[in-house]
Amino acid sequence: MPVLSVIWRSAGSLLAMHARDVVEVLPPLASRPAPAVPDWVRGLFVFRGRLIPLVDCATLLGASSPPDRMMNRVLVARVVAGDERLWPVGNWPVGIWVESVLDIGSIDFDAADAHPGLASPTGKFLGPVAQTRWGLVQLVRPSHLFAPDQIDTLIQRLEQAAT
Amino acid sequence: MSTTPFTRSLAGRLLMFGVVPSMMAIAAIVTLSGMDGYRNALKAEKEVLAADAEGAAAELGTRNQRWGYIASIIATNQTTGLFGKRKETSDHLKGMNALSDQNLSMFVVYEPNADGQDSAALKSADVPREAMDAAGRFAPVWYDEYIGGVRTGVVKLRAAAGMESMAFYLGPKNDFAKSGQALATITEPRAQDGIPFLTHSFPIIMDGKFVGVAGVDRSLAFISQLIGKVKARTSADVFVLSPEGTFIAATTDSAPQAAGAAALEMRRISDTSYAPSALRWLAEPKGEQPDAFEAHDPVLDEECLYAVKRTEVGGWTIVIRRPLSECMRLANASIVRNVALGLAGMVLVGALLYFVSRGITTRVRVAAASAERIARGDLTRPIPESTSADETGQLMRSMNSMDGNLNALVGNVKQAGIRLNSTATEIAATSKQQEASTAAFGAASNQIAAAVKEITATGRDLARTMDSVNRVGQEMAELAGAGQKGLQGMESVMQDLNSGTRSIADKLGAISDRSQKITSVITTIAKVADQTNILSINAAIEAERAGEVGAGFLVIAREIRRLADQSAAATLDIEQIVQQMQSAVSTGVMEMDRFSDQVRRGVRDVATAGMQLTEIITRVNTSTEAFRQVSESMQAQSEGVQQISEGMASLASNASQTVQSAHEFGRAAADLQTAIATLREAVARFNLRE
Repeated sequence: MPVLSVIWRSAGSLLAMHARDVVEVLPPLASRPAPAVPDWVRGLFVFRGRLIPLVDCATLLGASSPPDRMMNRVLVARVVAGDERLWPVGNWPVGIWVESVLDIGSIDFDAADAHPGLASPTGKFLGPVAQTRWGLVQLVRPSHLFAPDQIDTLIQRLEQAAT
Repeated sequence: MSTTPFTRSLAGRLLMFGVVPSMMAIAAIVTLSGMDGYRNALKAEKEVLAADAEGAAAELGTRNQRWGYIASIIATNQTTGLFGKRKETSDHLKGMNALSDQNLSMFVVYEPNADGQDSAALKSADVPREAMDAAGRFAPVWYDEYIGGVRTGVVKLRAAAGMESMAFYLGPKNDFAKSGQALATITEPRAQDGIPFLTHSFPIIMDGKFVGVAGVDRSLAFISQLIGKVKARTSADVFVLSPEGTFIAATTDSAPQAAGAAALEMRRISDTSYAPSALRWLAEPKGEQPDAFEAHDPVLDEECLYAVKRTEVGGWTIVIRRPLSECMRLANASIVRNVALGLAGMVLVGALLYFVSRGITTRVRVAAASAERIARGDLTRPIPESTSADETGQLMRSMNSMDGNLNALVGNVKQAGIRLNSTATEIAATSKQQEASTAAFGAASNQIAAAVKEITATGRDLARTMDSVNRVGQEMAELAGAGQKGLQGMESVMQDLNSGTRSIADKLGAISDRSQKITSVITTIAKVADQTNILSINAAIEAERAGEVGAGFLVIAREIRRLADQSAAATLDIEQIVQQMQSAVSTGVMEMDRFSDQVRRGVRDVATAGMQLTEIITRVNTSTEAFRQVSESMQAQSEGVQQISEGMASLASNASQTVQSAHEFGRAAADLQTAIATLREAVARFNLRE
């Protein structure tokens, strides 16, 4: 079934996320550096009164982050998971730094010609790949964006940043 | 806005998927709890009835055992010394009978001539005649006198009769004959003088031989009193049945065959309407514990609870009956109360869901109407504020914020369009002015080139005539004078050329400044297009979140994003064209600087040539050598003029390129105006608030 998705480019690939998982798309913004965070976290920034992490999508995909440009965007996405320490109210937004937002349109990732994807244990957030008018687009599932050990690391860093 | 059927509306679905399952769940809970409560209450009632039956059976069994024990004491007294002592025996019976008011009589009956005194006793006066039958058989019965069913307090003596056919005598006798043991016997109830009673008897065994029985007649009134107490405590009917199927006692007075409870006593079960039920009563109980069960009562014609227990002594069957409706009155009342509470809960849940869904539906309808109005481009009215804390309230506030941002955005885009249009018009005018200036510059360059060609021809003519100067000095002097005049004209033209060159340089500088302003405006347009792109994406996300009602706005957001992309693309084109123009202008400035230097040098050369020509004219008149020097100077002049000619050709070429660049710049400005017109047309459909 086609679902409205936000399509962006990171590390030379086209990725997409369901629009219902995106809280807001922001222009490139400055983030506060956090001490000793993993290399895929650019830092922390304030979103609607809450301090949330800013994740670099290219680094998360294993590529090097290109120089910052005006067309860069920050996708504020809902991350829902079962760890009650992080999500006392069920939703925990995270900023995702992408190279550029290409478009927003309907994509059927459940279509017959869609590829289910080959997610690794550390890359479960990468979903199926669909052939679209923009090219091959792979679905990103924010609920699988972080592995449990990454969440533990984030919790420690957020607690350090809060103090 | 189209009207949604109630079954497909938000309120309808909330009621359908909220109230109906809740009602089904509450109904299931009430039903199951009611069934459990009913079963538990029924079980408790059975246990209470069983306990009452067991208590009554224990009490009656104890009393049977006690009366059997009294009969055995009378018999034992016979075997331990009183047998054959008829007077003492009669007196003993009379004394024993006075000890209790529950017994009607006490007796001893001997076998015919068991003590060998039957014939002698008839003749003796020691033993009352009433203690014997006609044959002298000893059978004294001391009994309380009743008249009209009332005890008189008088104790009388009579002789027992008919004992050879009665159970109180045959029972112990036959039991002893069969088992060789002395066993107590309880007879079936019977009546005498209207007083119901039964008999406890015990055999008298002398030297292993049955010689008679001893016993006591016991009134059934005390049994009726006992079970009456049970009924008073439990409001249940109690029946006492003999092993032979005779009612010993009963508390019920509702038997259709009789007017009172006493009517059942001493009647065979088979003669009453209880016959179908009593057969089961006699078959119960199957174990030591009382049996409790439900059955239809043929007399009351309703379902009743029964508890049945048999006494250990006498084998009487104790039956306690209580109507099921009476037993379960409290349980049924509890079930009715639970059902009423369940119905009240369902009504409450339905009412709460209705009010909640009505509030949500109202806000969603307001949001849908506002989104439809915004889709029509009507931004003149604000979206009503919502104080609700739920998601619909957040939707209203988000749409309100979106409406405000959209209002500001469209307003900014309109103002930017106006400013862009003004700037583009200014650019187009400047471009035309530049083109005209450059064309004038080209014409001046052609004029200069023609003059330079003339100078060249004149110089060559002078050089060729220098050889004959010596011969025709005067002619040369005249020619030199003509050359001096030509040089003076050329100097004037060169001054004009220098002035024109400075004007062109100033114009190019102005173009460069304009280009810088255009670049600043283009940067502003690019930022606005970038913000518009982000805003359109967020608007599309919010429209998706709004569901079906946001589908229309999704199209608007996509159109705004497409216009923003077109603006960004047009901005890139303009930026590229401006960069090309700036490059061409820079080249033109450099060439103009170089040309200015050449012109200034040409002016100086012309002045020098003029002075030299004057000197030549002076010296031509004095010496040939001087004319030779003049000839050489003319040669040098010719070379300088050649350089001027080449510079002018280069200047003319650059002017042509500048004209072409100005033309392209004008065309780009026209494209920009077209894009701005498209943008203004797109935002013109939005009406803004004052």
